[in-house]
Amino acid sequence: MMTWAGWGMRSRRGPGGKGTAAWKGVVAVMAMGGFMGVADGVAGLQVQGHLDFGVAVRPSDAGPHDDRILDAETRLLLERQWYGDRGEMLDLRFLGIQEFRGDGRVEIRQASLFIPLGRRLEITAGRQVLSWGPAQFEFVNDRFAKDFDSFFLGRDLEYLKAPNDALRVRSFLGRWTLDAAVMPVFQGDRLPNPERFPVPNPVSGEAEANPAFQADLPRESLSDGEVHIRLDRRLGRWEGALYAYRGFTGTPEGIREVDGAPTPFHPAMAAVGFSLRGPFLAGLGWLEAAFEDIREEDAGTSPSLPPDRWLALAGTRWSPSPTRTWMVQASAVGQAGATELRETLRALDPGHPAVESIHYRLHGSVTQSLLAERMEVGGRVLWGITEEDAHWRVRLAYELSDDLVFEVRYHGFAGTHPAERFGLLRDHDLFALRLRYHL
Amino acid sequence: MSGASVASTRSREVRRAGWIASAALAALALGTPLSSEGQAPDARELAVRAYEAAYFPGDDVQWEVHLEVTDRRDRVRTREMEVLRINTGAHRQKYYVYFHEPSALRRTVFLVWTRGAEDDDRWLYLPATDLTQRIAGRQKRNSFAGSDFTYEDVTGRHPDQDDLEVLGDEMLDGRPVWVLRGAPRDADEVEFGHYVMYIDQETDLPLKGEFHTPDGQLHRTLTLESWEVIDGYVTPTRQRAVNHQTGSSTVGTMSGIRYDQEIPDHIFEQRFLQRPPTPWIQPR
Repeated sequence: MMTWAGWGMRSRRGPGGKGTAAWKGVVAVMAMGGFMGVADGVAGLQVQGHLDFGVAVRPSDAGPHDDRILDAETRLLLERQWYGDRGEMLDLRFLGIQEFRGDGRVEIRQASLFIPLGRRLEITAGRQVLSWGPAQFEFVNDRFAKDFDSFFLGRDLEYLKAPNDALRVRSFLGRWTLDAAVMPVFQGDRLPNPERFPVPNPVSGEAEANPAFQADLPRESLSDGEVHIRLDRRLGRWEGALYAYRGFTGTPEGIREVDGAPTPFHPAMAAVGFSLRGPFLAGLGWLEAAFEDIREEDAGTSPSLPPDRWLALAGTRWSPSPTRTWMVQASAVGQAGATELRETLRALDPGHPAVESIHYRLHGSVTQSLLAERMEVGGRVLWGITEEDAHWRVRLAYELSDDLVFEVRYHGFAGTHPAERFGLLRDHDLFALRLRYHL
Repeated sequence: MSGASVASTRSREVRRAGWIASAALAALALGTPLSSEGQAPDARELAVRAYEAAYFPGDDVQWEVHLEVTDRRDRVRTREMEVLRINTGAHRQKYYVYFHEPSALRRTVFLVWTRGAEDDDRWLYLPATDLTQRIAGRQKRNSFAGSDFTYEDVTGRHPDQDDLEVLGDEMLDGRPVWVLRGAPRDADEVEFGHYVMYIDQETDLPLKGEFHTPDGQLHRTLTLESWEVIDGYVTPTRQRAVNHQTGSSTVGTMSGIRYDQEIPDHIFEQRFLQRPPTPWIQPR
């Protein structure tokens, strides 16, 4: 499940290095593309990818952030896959990012080597973007690093996940498939950029403009890495999976003293869960649940730590016509124990959503394709019933040609509690325009 | 399907192809149509023959598809893909469709397990997100890759999903055809109200299909524009779909068709979505 606690804080080990030279990122990736192109010329292959131009603006000047331009950037992604005779695959994807008023940087999105070892074992080693599970936008058992900035700015789906340096092993055991992904170094979620969005001060709970907190990250050692495990099989026409995870919370949800100052950190966590996906009524259905055990002393009694919790989600998607698709998803997050802590909070602020033991959410979407699938319009609503907040999106995408796509989005936010989740962004609706050229 | 029954099916197909070739030669020589003495066949039997002729030749087959989609403003989009198909039982098949072009769809994979009259199992692998989406059975009437073909046009619509009636026989472009009318048993499942199919009396191939809306308007026409005998099987090589409501049309051209290559069953699994099953599929 996406969690919002601690968003906006910077991590001491940030993702990807930033440069300062203008257009450095895009130029560097073009140079890499040239290198790959030369390699391709030798091998008779082609470099692929896309070029994005994007801008996001805030129509309102309310709130602590005066700048109405949230995002204006060029993204050049170049990718190439090489295939060996025995099924091996080398997958390279370089992303150059140039912010028009800021830095340029290069990010390696993918640099992985896939090796099949016989019929029963596959290994993928290196940097890779990982995802699994059936749910849409909300994740119960998928704990791979997310990119919240991309989520709020409405970037393409492929940027909603951050890449991981991982070793992934898949084993095919009869009807079962066992997946294990090991990250030697913990990779937390990429949090919203506080220069773009207002964020809460994790210590005081108040919203502030640009609070420059740094989260204290786990040590860079094997013992403080992450392990994700998934065991799945078909159950008739349904697909079932069991999950286990050992690592840390994706966002820095805890606060502890570091060098005498209260500092956000990622509490240690273990989790188990399951998912089911298959035909349901006139479409598809899915069901997921998980239990998260916070492996920190005083979890459930200390206000500086999140309590153990369970998560559950059920959804369905169906198409009443060949051009229209609906999706509805309901989810709940419950706190296990922590009764005394909630009672203490209730005494301080009885109306605050944090005092509720179970938090309910609804999520719905509709997409409609038009003009022989050249145009797609869609809407999406995430409604926090307990949090009394909501986030909605309207999207229109138009294919100018096979290679050129224009997209416009509107993201709206509302909420009763100004320091919580979408309520924090209630004066920060945004328009985003994006033009993508497929190479 | 057991090895014996697969061999038996294949043997029947080869015999039928041979019969078709002989009969066609005889027809050319005699100048008479090949219809079976004017006796209209049973509607379901006719529909099953057409379904099998169009979708079931061979134990397995591999081919390349070029789709050219032209909208009403004459703007053209193209798609290139490679398809693997195996027969796995009575009216059951598995399909693996790998997209080469356009670049926005490159490395996208569409995997289908058909189950006769029951809903198919369908998956769509999107390489940009490395996620495999399950496609709802009833989304099979959705456009296939933005073309005027539907997912169901690619893998076939089982005759037992419709109430069928033989309307008679007539000539279509100089060839004798049976005219079959079908109406969906579950009207909520599909967008059309009924269809009229023109089935070639020589080859059993559906030469033309006209899909009408529930209020009777012509919505979509599928036309088989050419076919060849390849490896002993009568094989469609060029089809056209016209959407009369949007003014869009799509021409699908099949090439590189190779039957009975002994394509292994295990490559039609989700594990082969993330990376293609080389050497069966060679990414460009």
